[in-house]
Amino acid sequence: MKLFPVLIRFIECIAFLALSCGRPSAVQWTETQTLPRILPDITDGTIPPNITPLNFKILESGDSYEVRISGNDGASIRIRTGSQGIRIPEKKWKALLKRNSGDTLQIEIFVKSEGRWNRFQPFSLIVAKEPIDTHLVYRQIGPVYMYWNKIKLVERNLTNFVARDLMNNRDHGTMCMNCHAFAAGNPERMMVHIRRGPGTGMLLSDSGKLSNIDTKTDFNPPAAMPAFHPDGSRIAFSVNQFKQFFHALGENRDVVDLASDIILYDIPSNTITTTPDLAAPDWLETWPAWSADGKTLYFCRSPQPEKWNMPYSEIMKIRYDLAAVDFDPATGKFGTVRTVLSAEETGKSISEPRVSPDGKFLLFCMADYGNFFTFRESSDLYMRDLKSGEFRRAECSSDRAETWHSWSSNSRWIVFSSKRYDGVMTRPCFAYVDKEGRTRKPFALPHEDPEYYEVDMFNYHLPELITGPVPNSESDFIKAAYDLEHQIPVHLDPAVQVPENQAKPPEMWLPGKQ
Amino acid sequence: MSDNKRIHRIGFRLTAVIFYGLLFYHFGARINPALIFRNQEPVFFTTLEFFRPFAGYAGGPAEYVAAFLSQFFIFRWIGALILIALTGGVQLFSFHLFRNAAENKPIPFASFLPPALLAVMLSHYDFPLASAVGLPVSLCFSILLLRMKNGRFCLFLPVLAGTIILSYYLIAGPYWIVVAISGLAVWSARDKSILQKGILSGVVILVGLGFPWLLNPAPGVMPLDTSCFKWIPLSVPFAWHVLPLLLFGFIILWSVIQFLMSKWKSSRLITIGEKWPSVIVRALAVTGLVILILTTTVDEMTRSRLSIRLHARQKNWDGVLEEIRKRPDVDAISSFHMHRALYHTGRLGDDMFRYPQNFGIDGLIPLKEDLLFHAVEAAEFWFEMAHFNEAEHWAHEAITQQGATPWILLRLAEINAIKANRPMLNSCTKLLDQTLLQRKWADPYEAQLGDPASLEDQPAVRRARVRWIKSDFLIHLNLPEMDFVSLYKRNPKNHMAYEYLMAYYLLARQIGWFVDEIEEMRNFPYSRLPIHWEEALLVYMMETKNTDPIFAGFPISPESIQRFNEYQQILARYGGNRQSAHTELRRKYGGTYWYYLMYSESNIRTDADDSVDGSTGATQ
Repeated sequence: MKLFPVLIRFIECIAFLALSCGRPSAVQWTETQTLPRILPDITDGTIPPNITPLNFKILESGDSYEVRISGNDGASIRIRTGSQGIRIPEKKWKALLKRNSGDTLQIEIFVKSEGRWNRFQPFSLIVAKEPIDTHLVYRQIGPVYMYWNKIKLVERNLTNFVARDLMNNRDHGTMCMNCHAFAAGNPERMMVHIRRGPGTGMLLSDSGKLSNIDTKTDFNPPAAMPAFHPDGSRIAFSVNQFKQFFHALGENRDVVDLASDIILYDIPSNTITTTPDLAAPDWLETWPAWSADGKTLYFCRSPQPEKWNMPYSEIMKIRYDLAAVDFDPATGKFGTVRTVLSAEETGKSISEPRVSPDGKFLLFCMADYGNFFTFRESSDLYMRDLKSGEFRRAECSSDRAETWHSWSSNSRWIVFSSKRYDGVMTRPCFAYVDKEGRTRKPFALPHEDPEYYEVDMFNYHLPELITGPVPNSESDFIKAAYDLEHQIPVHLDPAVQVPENQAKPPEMWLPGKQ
Repeated sequence: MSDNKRIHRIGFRLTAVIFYGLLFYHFGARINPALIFRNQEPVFFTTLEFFRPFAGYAGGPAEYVAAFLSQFFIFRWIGALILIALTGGVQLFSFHLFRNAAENKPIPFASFLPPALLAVMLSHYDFPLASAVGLPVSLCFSILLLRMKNGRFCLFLPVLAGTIILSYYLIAGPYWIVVAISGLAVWSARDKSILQKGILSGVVILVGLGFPWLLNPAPGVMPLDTSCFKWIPLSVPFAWHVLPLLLFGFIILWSVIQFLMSKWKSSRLITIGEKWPSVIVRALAVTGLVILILTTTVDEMTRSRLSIRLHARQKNWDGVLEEIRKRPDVDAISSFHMHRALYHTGRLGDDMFRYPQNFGIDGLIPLKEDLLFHAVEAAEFWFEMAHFNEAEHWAHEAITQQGATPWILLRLAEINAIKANRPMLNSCTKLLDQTLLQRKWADPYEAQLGDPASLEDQPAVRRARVRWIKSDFLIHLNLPEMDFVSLYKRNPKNHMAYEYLMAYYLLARQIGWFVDEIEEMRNFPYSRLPIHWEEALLVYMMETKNTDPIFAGFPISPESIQRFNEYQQILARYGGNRQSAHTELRRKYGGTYWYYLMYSESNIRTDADDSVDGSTGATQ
């Protein structure tokens, strides 16, 4: 069965060998005054010392290609190929990174065209001393509009090209996996929401033991955006009533939040609670995030509009502040909500705050309005110094949407979803963060196939960095998801007042043809 | 060779020629594999990366081969040949399976039954080809096992286990035949007592059938119809479950019967079976069977609807209208294509009420729920309307639903060329380049991608941009007809939006709104008022007592005035009683707007979700 594609690859190899056999490498060349066009763009980036080879495609046309990667210690890798796709040998790459940790690599690209070699302007790659967390968990999904079909929750080892499905709905019917989260990057303490298929619930992992929790109560629909408390004992959630709508010009998709509150799930007591400040009827509260010490809960909020039957010009005025509330982990009590950064001050809307594990910085998104920024081209990353209160646009932002960011456990790396490559699909990008909170030029998640990003039609949502592999197999997740008999319903804190006529929110994204 | 055997063999071959000749005609001329492809449209790329996921699950290889073979279905007669090869393969291997099961090697006419059943299934436009691909493979493995049964038992068992595992991996569900035949092979092995054979056969069948459970990620809690049991008769996504079950059951049972009969040495049946009258009876039975298939298995309605969709894709608008004339009992999606065809042939204003209007506005532009399984057609429609964001939206929905088929990729390439999104255009082009038969579609874009200026100069891109809107509005998800207004108001050069808007007003019986927009026809090169428009204007004149028959500078034609008067006279003859006049009016004026207005139930649609619809204010 493999014959056909293998045959093509075999013929390619033979053809290349026949073409290149016996020819010397680039010894004489003409200098070109431009940087080479490559995809994904890794020029002048900063990379971790433990990252897998950054394979790429040279977008310059030619007959032969040569790439030389050299370190300041004299060691180098030379790749010569007849195709535009550059596959860097993994062992040599790792050895080169090890020797050049904290130093710089020089990359030269030669392209042979019409019998002459041209050398493009060399570029450098800074190899940081600090490694990145070894694994990344993301949701892979097709173009997201109204309907979904194939969805995977994937764990990718960043030190090589190995990826495995934590959940793949090809194997278990129509299930949808959405938000997943980890407690401080700990792979043994994770949660993921599921819906459709066997039913709605939250799969919660405690040192590899999975439980299926029904987070729905009389007060709230199933929980949505999660934020694990750093000690792993609680999860703050937003519960949202999203409404998607579409534009006729520019980015088609847009989302407005019709109602939202923040709730807190206490894992040991299996109880959901909230406070009037976090679930105020005249406010939309969303995107909870804990401080590194777990003593502050950040979130975004905006005054609840009086009516939803409003023109778009009014929807464009919905802007979220960054707010915070003190929290006492010992008693589980919240303090009074305060505004940390107001939309009035920034002129923009804030969402997705995430605090660095060392507690020094808060990374968040700002866009022109709303709070669901994966569809807002104007969304950029911003870094706030929690000590001085100053903030600035993160240098790694592009002119396209940047969202869904996560910190590495050493606070030196971030990963975020970016639409910088085509404006439509989100790709995970990694950026180095220095001690002053400045970010450097990011690079995209490397793939073994150098042409991957040219033909990939998938989105990578919620890339979360974790410190090792998740201990559970796909089988564990599916068993837990289907084991409705043992699904645990949460308790609602009796102190929480349930409003009358609690409306059931409509489902926004629907399953497609199976 | 005895005369009987010769007669038997000649009869068998002649029957085969007639059987496959008729089947070939059936598949090519009546079923039309291009329609099967139009219905299922599996994605196939020629790269290793595309193959990899198929290698990762049981039945994936069969699905990969089926996706490959399906690509050729766009050529109806090549598609028919492939279907004949599959049915022929099933017969060939069934033939040998039955002969191997029976030790006296008869020439079994019964081997025509499996291909006949398969032909019935393949005649259904939803039947998954992967299931059919697995059948000859399973039969092949079964023959192999029967041939090896008399070898050394200690060698036979590992081969048997390996065959079961390999066949399950390659073809998934149809491996059940291999499991059943392996039981028979063990039973018929020599040098074993009946008790030993019985126990061993039972164990082999039980272990073989239970084997996928070992691979099931969550045995006991997951439903059966998952990838672990893909393509078994009960999980095939196909309406007539009994047929795959019959097919599997027959192959297994007939093999067992053959085996038992061969043990019954004095069987008179076998002797009788080899005489020539018996051959003629069997040949006639097989011929009768194929004629039965020919006459009963074509779902004419589905074929007609798929033909309409195929014609619409090929922009064969006359073909669409011709098909609707042949079968006027159209569904809403066919009606949607009918309106497209009428617009593209310049007949929307003249002829739309001469065609069936059973769905009102739903037939002009279906709601999103109805378009879900026709997402690529929705993308085509909105692209024609120069509503490029909505075209992109539906093209992406189509990718979610069907995968990146060449038609979706081409549409996305065109949209991204217009939007000047070069990276996305490049992706679509590269993917088109990896298709099997549509590589050439990428050529124009590949050339332009190398030269930014040439893309801007492309006439199609320039033409599309002229019709494009310059300011945003929120799309009406629940009332797509409202977008005709938004599009036209933002770009009065959008002729299609204008014609659809006028058609919508007519279907919605909103003659006042229709008249409000009639002056706008001056923006387009009309030479006269379209006939249905005249009919609507005459109603308007009658109701408002307006006597000036000039609209947008065009007079209502005397013919239309005369027909309207005749219509009124017929109605008057029945004392104004609509019910009494119905038959005569339908006969004489069934194709007029007056008739639609008087007898149709279609009304304006409303948005049930308006309290939270983000599209509120879209036309502001």
